Amino acid sequence: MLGKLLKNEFIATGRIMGVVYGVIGILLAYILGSYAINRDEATTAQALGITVLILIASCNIFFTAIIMIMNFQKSLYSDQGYLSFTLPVKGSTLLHSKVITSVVWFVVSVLVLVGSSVIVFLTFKEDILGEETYSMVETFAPMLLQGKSIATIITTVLIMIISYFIKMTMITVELYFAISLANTRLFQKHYLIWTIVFILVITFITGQLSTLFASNVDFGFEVLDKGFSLVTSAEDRTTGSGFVDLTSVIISLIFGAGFYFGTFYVMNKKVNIS
Amino acid sequence: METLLKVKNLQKSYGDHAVLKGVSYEIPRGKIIGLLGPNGCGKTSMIKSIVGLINDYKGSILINGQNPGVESKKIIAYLPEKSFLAPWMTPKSAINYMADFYKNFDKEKAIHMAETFQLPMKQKIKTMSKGQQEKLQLLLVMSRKADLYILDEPLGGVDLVSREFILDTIMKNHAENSTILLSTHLIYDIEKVLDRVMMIKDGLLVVNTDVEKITNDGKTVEDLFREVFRYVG
Repeated sequence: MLGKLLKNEFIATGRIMGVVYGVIGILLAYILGSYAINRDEATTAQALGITVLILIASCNIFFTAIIMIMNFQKSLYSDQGYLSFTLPVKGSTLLHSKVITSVVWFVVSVLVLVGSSVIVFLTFKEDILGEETYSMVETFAPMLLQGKSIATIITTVLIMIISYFIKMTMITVELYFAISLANTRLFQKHYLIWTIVFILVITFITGQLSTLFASNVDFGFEVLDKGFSLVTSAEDRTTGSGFVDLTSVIISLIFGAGFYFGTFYVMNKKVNIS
Repeated sequence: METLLKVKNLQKSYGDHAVLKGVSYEIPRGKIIGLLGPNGCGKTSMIKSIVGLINDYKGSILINGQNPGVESKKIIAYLPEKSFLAPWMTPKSAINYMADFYKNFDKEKAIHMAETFQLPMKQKIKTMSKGQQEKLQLLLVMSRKADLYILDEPLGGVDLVSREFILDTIMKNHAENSTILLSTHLIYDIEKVLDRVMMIKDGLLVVNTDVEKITNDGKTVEDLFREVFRYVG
């Protein structure tokens, strides 16, 4: 049933997200197409296109969050909830489908932003940075990776991707928890206001706790030339070397689990669709 | 006769306000039962508890021997008072959606009913008239070969001709040996199709009897309703 729920979730959210990615695709095609025709220098129209593209791709992350919030609210806690909650699926499966869809769209939005930025940068590198700056970047960039083995670089990137993925999931369930809480009987009447209040309060608390832990607990991997070194205290760290912080990842996992079970409980026990 | 739905001492409160104060009854298979009572008497809360929309009730509910959950949802076809479809959906996508989730959903029957009802298959629900939307929801529910149909106020807010149409659709399309629990406050329209009536007053089940017994006593269901709720028309 999860597959069927996911299919329908992507149909529901894809209608709007598809429009955004369509616009981004058209802009990118225009920028690259016009560059292919005129390689001499960036035109004003191209510069405007690049600005709009990066602006849309950047705002898209925020836009994705809004769409996911609206979809969760409407499909579960509005009249459509009469259908969602009477489907022959477990409450956990219903929640999984929402979380997976949301995380996928968040990941796609970041990939599109990074991808568009990289493509535009590589195409117009000298025009964007200026010849001198670009030449400097070209000289110094490889020094960052100098001496690092390919395995080390790949592992570092993988750890960063997984860490980002975990944080995105945590943010998603945090939003869902806030919405679910705002739809309990006590807050239901002004659910929109309460959703915003809960998001702000929860974000503030989790932010404070994360900072507190992160500044007091040194735990992660130090990136060495060939491999990694486990860091469990500040004394273990070498100045100037790369560090993959695991404290924030673990904190995200703990918060994520808490919000997930909290949402599941509220959704199944406390919400009464009016 | 085999019991399909068994409700024992069902209680539900919203804060300090008790809407169901210990309701118990059993419903057999193959019957058409009217759940009657004025607005706000607890009918919808009872229905929501049976279909799994309310979980924080006291007492027990058994549907075909099981608590409300995934298995009971497979055999219950529920028509709520509200418009439960997403506004961007079309009749075609709504039919596909139901076919995806319910094994007992007869897609061909649904398409045939949509044609009979003259519903535009590719028109978005948000641009359809209220009557068209209601017809679509009704056909989605009645296209299932369910054991228990729970219809919450299907006749409310529509004219006499539409009421006859809705009732006719229900009677012609429900699965064989299935039970229909029909909640309404419009007694006159449904009296002729009911086998049994249950009346809820102030959160209590005050009447649970066969229609035949009422008529044998020389009364109509409407007469009894007026007696119970002391309504003088």
